[in-house]
Amino acid sequence: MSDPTLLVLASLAEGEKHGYAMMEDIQRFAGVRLGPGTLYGAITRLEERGWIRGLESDDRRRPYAITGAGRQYLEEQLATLDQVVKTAMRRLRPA
Amino acid sequence: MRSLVRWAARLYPAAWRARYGEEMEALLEDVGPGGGDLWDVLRGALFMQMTSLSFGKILAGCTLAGVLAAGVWSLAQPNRYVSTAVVRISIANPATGGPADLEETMGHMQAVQQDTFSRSSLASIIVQQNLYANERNRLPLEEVIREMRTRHLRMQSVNESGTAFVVSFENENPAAAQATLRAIVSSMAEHDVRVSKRQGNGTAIMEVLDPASLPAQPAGPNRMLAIGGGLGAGLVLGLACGAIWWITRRKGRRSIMRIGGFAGAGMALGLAVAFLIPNEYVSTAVLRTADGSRLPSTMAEVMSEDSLAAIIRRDHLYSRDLSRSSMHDVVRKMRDEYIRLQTVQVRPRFKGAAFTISFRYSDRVVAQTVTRDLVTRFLTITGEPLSATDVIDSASLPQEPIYPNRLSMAVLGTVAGILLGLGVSLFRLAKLATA
Repeated sequence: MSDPTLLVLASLAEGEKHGYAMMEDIQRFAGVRLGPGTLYGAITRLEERGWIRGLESDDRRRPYAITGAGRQYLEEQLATLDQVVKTAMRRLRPA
Repeated sequence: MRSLVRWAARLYPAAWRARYGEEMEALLEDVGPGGGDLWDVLRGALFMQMTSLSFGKILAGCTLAGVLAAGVWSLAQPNRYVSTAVVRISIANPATGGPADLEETMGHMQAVQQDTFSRSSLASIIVQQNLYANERNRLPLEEVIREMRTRHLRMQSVNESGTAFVVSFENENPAAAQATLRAIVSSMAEHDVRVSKRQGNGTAIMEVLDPASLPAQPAGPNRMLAIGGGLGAGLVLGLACGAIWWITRRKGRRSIMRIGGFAGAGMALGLAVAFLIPNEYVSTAVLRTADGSRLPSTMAEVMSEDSLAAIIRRDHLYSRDLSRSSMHDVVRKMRDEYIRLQTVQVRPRFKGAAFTISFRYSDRVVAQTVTRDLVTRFLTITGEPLSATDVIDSASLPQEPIYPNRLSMAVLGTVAGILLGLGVSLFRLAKLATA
């Protein structure tokens, strides 16, 4: 799984995080290092679609949180992925 | 590296930077960016710029680019200076002592012009004046002379009776333009004497009313016209790019792939067709006869089936065509499609006539050989020979093919492909909207 939008949503599902924290988290749980351009490209798209929102902050490092719509989208995507993973695993098992 | 990446982050659109700029900067401070991050930020900036585009921005950008490109191009072009001279020709009628018939004067002047502008005459002027040094390094002299004759050298009648002419020559150097025009006017005077002797008409007097001028102001290039052209081209390009952007924004990557695919296929098809078509070369010769009244019958004899069949057999032409069709058909094809006879000037009351013979073929040496054969036939024809016929320009050896223009065909194929891709994408969008 290397879709940056899904990775960001998965990271924010745990709780609010700013950009650098998301980057570190994603690298830890998915083994993927998102570059700054890729990360902020995904954040821009997700915010435009209303799946995440930026929180008020006095710091330059603005934290983000997943929205209800974002959570629902993530669940749908993970269900599809789960179906694919289960089917593939079943097919890989020796008859 | 950090300052480079920070510079790259400034390439994002202003609206995006207003919203995310500070956060991105803080992130860059935290991560300590490397070379991979620089590329990542550059790619992100490009993507954001693409997504923040609008039809108006694309149109304005392309138009501005067209104007700038045309402006830079026109400034890179050297100034062109035109030197002009005015000459008048008058012929005394030996019988009456008065001025000769107008038609005769005009005919005389045209003969002088043909001789002065002939290949050999212009070649000696080019070498003597050391003109077109760069062009002569990369082009055959034949091409350079054609360029000089068609683009830089002019002769125009200035009075109603057509006996006074403005001769002009254009060059990047005003002094060279003047010196060359002086040489051309001298050459005209020499040919004037020769034509008088040859045609046996009255004493021709060529007067130089205005000697070759030294141009002070450039006559070109027309920079405003070039910028106007750039504006028009930029607008057309902007409309095309705007249409592509509008469609791809609605159907994303699939539309880009489709339009790109059609454009690539169009270019490949254009190139394939262009490379399948064999090169064709044209050799040309210019002849002049003192008696134009016999020209039609002589032309008919030279172009007769027997005459052309003899050339076909001698030069082994059209062997593939001959294996499939009769000599009669091949001769007709050669006469209708490959040979061109063009009368340059026949005046009702002036007996002389000049004409060009050209032959088109896939081999440049054969094209020259056949043109030479045709010229020889004109000179040695037995039926009704042309009187006092001379060769102004002998059969040329073409250097470059005149057909096909492969670049044009590839561009045409690409443009057709883009238009087809746009059409298909629009059709699919309309179909989706209806559904």
